[in-house]
Amino acid sequence: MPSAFNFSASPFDCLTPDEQLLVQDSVDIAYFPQGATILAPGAQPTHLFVIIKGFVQQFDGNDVVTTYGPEDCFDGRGLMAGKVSSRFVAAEEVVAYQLARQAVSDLIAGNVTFGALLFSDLSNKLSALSERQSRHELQSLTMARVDEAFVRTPHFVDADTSILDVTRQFHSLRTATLLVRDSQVSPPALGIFTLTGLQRAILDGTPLDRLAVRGLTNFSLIKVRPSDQLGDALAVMIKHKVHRVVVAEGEHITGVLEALDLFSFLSNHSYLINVQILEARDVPALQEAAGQITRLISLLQRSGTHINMIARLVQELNAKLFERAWQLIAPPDLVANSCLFVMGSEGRGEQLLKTDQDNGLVLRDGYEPACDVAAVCRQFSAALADFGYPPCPGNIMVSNPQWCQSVTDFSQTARLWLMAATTDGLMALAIFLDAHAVCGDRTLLDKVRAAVYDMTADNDAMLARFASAVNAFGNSSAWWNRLLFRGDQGKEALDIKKAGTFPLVHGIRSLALAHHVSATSTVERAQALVAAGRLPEKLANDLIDSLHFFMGLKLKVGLQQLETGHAASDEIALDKLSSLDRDLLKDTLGVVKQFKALLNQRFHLEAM
Amino acid sequence: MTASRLPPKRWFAALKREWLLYHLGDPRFRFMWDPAPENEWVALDCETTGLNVRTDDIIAIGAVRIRGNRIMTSERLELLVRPEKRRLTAESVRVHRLREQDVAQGISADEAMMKLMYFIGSRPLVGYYLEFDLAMINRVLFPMLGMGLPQPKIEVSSLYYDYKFHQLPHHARDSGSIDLRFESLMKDLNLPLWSAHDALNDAIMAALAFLKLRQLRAG
Repeated sequence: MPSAFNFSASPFDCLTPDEQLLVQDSVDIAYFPQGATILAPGAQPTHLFVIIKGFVQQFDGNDVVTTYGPEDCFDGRGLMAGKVSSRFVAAEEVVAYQLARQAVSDLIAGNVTFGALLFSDLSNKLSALSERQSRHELQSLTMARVDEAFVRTPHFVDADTSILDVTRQFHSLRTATLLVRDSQVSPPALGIFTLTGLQRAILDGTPLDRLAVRGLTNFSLIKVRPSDQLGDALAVMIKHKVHRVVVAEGEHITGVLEALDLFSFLSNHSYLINVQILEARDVPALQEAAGQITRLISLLQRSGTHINMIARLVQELNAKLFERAWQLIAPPDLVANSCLFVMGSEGRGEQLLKTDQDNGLVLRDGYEPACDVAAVCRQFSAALADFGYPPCPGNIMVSNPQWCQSVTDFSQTARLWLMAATTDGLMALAIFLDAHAVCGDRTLLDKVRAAVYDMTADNDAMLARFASAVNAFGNSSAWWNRLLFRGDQGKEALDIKKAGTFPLVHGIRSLALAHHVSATSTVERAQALVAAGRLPEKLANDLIDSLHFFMGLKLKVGLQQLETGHAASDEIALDKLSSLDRDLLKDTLGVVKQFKALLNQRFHLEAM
Repeated sequence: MTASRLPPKRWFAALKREWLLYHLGDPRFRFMWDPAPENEWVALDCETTGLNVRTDDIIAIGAVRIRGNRIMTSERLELLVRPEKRRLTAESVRVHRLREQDVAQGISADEAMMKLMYFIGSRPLVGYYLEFDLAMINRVLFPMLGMGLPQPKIEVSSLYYDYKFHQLPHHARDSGSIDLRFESLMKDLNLPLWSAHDALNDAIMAALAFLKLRQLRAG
């Protein structure tokens, strides 16, 4: 019904009122009984279909490529190409809007976002999406609360303190702002004295050790509340022409917000966490910074920052955090004669929310540690657990002696993983291939890695066994179709790691191992494989986009789970997804399926 | 064409057509007797000031063409009609949400009928309790044409009744237990429901029910 067309579903949600009118005037309603062929290959498409009720399956030959449900639209690509290339069949009785081709062309001509969302291949679709989000970016950052920004601890002095002593305080506390208490007046007054006040104090002419700070203090404090929005705090500063405001809840002063900190929060929040990590003098101070990382991720996610950027930032911050923690816990000679590394998703730089700690330590051959290395490692693992990184269920961490060995012993262990080729061994190898050094002498790690590559050279049987894990969780696409076909979305959840991330990441890792690509991130590996002519560029780009989509989806769901007090998991409740996310999920799982077919061919996995 | 070569039923229809054309008040509307385009219908619904076909007036008409398995909402007809004699009652405003000032913008009933007839052409009519809508329409039409709308009529509720009746086991067929209310019918056929008592919405829903019942009967 024209009057009931759902303009809140993607891609129609980006239309202007005039464009909505065009849709209403160009839309018909079609009815298809179950089993009817809606579009056949070779046909010239005249309409875009938007499903009102029922399900449609898209076939390539005899394979079901994907399933469309209510609010999904098809076949945008065919309409653009002027030719249908797949068969679309009503899997269940279908009632659908059909929008005339001319109207669709007019909409695309007038609205870039609509066109991109509807027709483009995956990467265009995603960039159209992030463009839409970026409009809200700065806005949502300024909507963060004041206490989410870097609020400095308040320091108090008495109003009788001399300027000389106040200057000493400035120096020792490394601050430029002091709060001044005057208890001689009634009621006691509170004011602020800043570095700029010092100029006036010198110009006053009175010897500075005899000049009390009282006379130069500004006793009309400008306050904001911790729950105020940063944008409002900024407006207050501009209005009063001040560079800092006092953060107070009623009479209780919690800190001072400096304009500089506010701006750096809006522009580069991670810088502040970095400073916090570098300046930490003990483990509890680091714990504070670790908590900030999760808050930063949540903030960046809400603000629409590209997932790739978030992941890179988080990898750097985590690496700094681990490095600093290791430096604080391990004695200097152990730090110098070993290499601490992280593995798995953390090593690839694809870890967003804190999950299991996967880490290890390689010791220099012949190094005789003066300390009890095992005890130091246990202490380190415990510290990470305190930071919110739960111990690894597979016990892949430095506190496990198997993951804390000398270069020679480690290489020997890796050889055993390869030779025995047990599931656990191959898994350990897979995780180790992603190792990324965070502290100490990184050449030690490189030596072990080189040893692994030497052993795998041209060992096709071993490579095939390694790569075969991509098929471990069955065919995700079939599963997805079965699910939609049953129309029983309410109770179903998709394990995004099994269906998407793992086959993608492991497939790229297997190709990287086969072609001796030493990069550890999936993106770098894929790019190196393209450069070496081992992976089609188009597929590589789609895989990278798909990986980022999976990471983004997992993050979105994970943050929601954290907010509701649950541990972040890989389960995605399909009924909670928007129609755009469902659409993208189908596209990306389709890319993974295509990639798996390539891997099966490349490693001859059908024979296994 | 000589009538004697036709089978009796067609012969009777042809005779009736000739008789009606002879009595047609306004020859401009002869097109309503032309052969209908293949596989086309018009679904129709009216909103009225009340339920009395003699004293109440039409205030809105919604009509939509059906072509094959498609409902051509892009070629719809939506008319707001100024009532001739009857004021709107509060009760009817609650039903169709058209207020006095809304229908005052409407066109005259005669003008609406002209537009409707051109829109329908010679296509068969489809509707739910079409009898009521046609009685309202024909009352306005009679002074103009000397007759009511001549097109064949297809009643959705009776299509549905036949379909349900054949599904029932023999012993249950006389119990009269088939629920013919529009909403029940749409739900039972598993078709989408849009907000009712909007003439166009109602016409489209009737059209959908028609398409599905036609499919069920063929399959």
